[in-house]
Amino acid sequence: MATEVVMPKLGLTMLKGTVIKWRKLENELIKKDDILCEIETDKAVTEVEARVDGILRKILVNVGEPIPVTLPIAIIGDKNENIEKLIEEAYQKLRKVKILEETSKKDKFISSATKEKHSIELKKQEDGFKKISPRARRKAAELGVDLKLLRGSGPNQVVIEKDVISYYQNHYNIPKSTNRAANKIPYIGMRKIIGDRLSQSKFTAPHVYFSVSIDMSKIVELVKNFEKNDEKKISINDFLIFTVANVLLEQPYLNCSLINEEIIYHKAINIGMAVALEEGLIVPVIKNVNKKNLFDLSIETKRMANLARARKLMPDDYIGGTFTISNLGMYDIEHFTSIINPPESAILAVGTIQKKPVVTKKNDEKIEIRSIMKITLSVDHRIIDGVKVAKFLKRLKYCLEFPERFFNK
Amino acid sequence: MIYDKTLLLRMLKLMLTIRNFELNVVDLNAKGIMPGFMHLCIGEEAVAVGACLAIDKDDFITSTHRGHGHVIAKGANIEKMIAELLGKKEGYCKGKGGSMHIADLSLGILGANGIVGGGIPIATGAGLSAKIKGNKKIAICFFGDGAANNGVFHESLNLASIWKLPVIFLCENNQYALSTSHKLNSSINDIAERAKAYNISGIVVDGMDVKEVYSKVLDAVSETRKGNGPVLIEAKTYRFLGHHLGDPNNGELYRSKKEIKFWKENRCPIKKLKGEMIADKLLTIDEFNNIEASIKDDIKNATKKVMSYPLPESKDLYCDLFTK
Amino acid sequence: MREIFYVEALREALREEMRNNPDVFLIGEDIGDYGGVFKVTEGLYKEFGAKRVRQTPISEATIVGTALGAAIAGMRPICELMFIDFLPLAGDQIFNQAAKIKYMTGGQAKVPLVIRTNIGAGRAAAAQHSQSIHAWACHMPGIKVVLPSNPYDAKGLLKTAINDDNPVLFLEHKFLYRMKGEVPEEDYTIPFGEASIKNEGTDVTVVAISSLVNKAMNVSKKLFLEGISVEVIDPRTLIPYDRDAVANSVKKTGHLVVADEGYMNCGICSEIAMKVIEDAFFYLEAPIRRVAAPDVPVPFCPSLEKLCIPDEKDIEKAIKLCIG
Repeated sequence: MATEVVMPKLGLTMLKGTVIKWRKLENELIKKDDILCEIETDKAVTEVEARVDGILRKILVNVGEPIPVTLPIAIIGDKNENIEKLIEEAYQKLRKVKILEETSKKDKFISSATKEKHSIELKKQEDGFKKISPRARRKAAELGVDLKLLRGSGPNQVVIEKDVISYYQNHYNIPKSTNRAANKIPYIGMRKIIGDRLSQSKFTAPHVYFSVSIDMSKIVELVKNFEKNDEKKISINDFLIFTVANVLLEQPYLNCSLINEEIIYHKAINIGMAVALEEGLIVPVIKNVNKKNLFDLSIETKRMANLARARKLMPDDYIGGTFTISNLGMYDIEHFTSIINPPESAILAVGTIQKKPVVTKKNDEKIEIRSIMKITLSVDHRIIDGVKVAKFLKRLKYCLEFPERFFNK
Repeated sequence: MIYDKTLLLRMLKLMLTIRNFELNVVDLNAKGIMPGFMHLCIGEEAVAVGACLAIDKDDFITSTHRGHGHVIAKGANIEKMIAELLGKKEGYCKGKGGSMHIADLSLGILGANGIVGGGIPIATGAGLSAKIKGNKKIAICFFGDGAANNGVFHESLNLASIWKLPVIFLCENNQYALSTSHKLNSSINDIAERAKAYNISGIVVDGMDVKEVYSKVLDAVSETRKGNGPVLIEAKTYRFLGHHLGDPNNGELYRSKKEIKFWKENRCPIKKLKGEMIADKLLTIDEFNNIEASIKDDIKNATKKVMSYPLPESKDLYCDLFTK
Repeated sequence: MREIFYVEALREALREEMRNNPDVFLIGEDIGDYGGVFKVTEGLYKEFGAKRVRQTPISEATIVGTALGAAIAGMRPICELMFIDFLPLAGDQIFNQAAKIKYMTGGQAKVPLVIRTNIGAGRAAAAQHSQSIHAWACHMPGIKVVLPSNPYDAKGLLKTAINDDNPVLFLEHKFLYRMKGEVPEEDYTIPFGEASIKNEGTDVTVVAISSLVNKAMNVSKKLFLEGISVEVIDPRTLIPYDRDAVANSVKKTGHLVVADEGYMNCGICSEIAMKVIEDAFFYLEAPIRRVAAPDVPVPFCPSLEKLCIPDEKDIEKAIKLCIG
């Protein structure tokens, strides 16, 4: 019994998604939970899994075309089932022209197509007049590409310049000289999303930076003690997140956002915890940190980090953050500044813990070796000013340096 | 008023120049050499000459679609005028304006105008400039009986009156606005009466008597130059030809043959001055004939010369649209 | 840098030019003590007096015509029409006289005339006080057409207009008068015929006129977050028009949206689009989209009126139609 695969709604605010890669081909055997394709939303890239077993009978949408959620993107069914009607209905929903030759092997979404496959499928034209933009024609003439061989990815399936260029790159020998010049990868997908958001943040919010050194010796001791008890393993990061959240509870001035000319002081304290992946920095959000105790928090942070590394985070896991902590301590970075993650208005950059000789502030000044960690807080100076930051950092420093006075387990 | 011979001769010569210039236009037009519409002022010479001689070279005039007379009386060059009428590049306006838009800014001629009443606010503005600059210049605004019923006439008289602008609004009432008689068009017979509505003085003059036009305009000019504000003068006159060349039978569709004949034979301004000068022994018939022949010759020669002038080239089309 | 209102920027330009040059004067309705209905001339009567700030009766044709006459006679008048909707009342003086006098006189006349007025709907002022019919002036050879979208451009462009020896129709926008923007203290002018690229982008070119420039900028900021890079171009002057800047931009982006507050049919958007088709057809990826007012008189009821004012949603929709 054939079923539709639809564009899934993966978050409260998601309205559209774009397939950026089909992992299965038409007519391939699908098992439940197999990954069918990768889709891009405005927040991240996610995988879509099959919910049923069957054959991927029909792929309904182009790579790169934004599709509203709940609309069909593919059909899985039995090998010999007649799915004509289903296809027609699906296309109607998508408001597309029905492709007549559905029996032909149209495997157009294979990323590295061979010449043979193309020459079979593309001799067949769709119903109606094939629209080609003037710019595409110009490019095709310039590159010597046969327009008849192209499929359009522009609005209303118009063949546009990038269709010509990508066809050319996939099928023609790219002269060695251009290859020698550089190793190029397109600036797309998650990288682009992250990059654009960072740019926008930096150019919109006037960033001001405040650094303070914290004596983490006592916390280091505490962590060592917990390590002996594996199940209750609590990391430095957990301590940090916990402390920050509780200081924010006391001093909520940094837990805010500037949205549409209003400064919103969030009731919830949701801390974003930056996790480094190969393709970029992911910031899953731990919600309501202030309501958790240290142990629950630690379980949550581990869970999130694992999900992130497995690329299994859902869009709801990234939204709703009110403050972010970025820790590069494990890479020996002593000091760095972070860019605020909008719409938050502050981010804490945490450096590595180093053993350093310091002058202790006891009654008689001595030099001791202590574990010192530098942190730098970036704030949006439109809505947060120096005095408040100073107060916050002072309190944070105190709580971390004297955990015994602060933590009650 | 005593008129000396020099002045009277000047008046006569100017009127003869205008008359023969216009007759030359009739001729060229009949031969198919002159393009476009011609609106001729034969019969109305005294108005142009009497008024323009009463002002200085520096003073301004604005004219109408029937402006050859005004422009010649203000001192325009005949050759350049013929060239303009023939669309030549050497014409006053480089062939771009034609009969209805002839201008010579150096003589204060701010242009003939193809729109009825179009020049009235412009003359008002010229008067305003004189007032602001304090240079004692004045502007004479020529317009017809038809324009006296147009909106801008009323707006301009009102404005000139309240601001006391040095403008003489000179209505050349030839009694017909194209084919409609003044009697049918106007709520009032003497246009000069409208001056009352704008709190300025209004004078009626005999437009066929160049001396009367001259003396009345001179009076008005001196008042205006003193800063006492504008004056409305109505010169009653008559055009001997039709509204334009091509108006059937010189306007007989709307004017009786009898009426036209009457004015031509009994009220010609040139005949009148000629008669008066001869009677006063300031001129002999032979002298008159010589003067006229000489003027005719000048115009003939000028025309011949102009015929060989070049026309504008295609590349001239976009020239003079904007000042750089 | 200091921030001042658009209306203040205009006032500064007027004041500074009036101080610099005694030939500059203002003429219009209610511009004296009242300061003009949009307060642009506030304080100028006090400083310069009735001689150079001339408040007139309701006589649009004569206001423009008088200013025109003064301009031809050597002054630099700036006349004000209360709303662009009153422009037709002065139609002859603007379109048949001012626009053409330089050309018709073969270049003899110089016409340094500025006509200031405003466009824009949104005040429930209904059909006769809410239009943006600047396309009429663009369709008339001989008039320059200027539309500043912010205080900086307003001051610089007005100064250039006052010092230009040609008729300039200077179009302010009712809703921009209270817009604040950075304006330097030092003297500066902005040349005509130079478009301003208000935001650089790579995906779609938006050419916007007057107040729509600011709306397009807001849209570009919003769409940046969606990964769409919008290039916003403000032509600033429609005559003369910087067609190269727009063509080069479309060659880069491949997509064009044009936004203007005038009526859609035969409007500004069509001309701009057509010029791009002439210059950059083979660089287009998709049909050009126009954002303009619907072809109906502006209704009174505010919710209906809103439909007649192109807004950010319209611009965004047009952009998305282009690029999908």
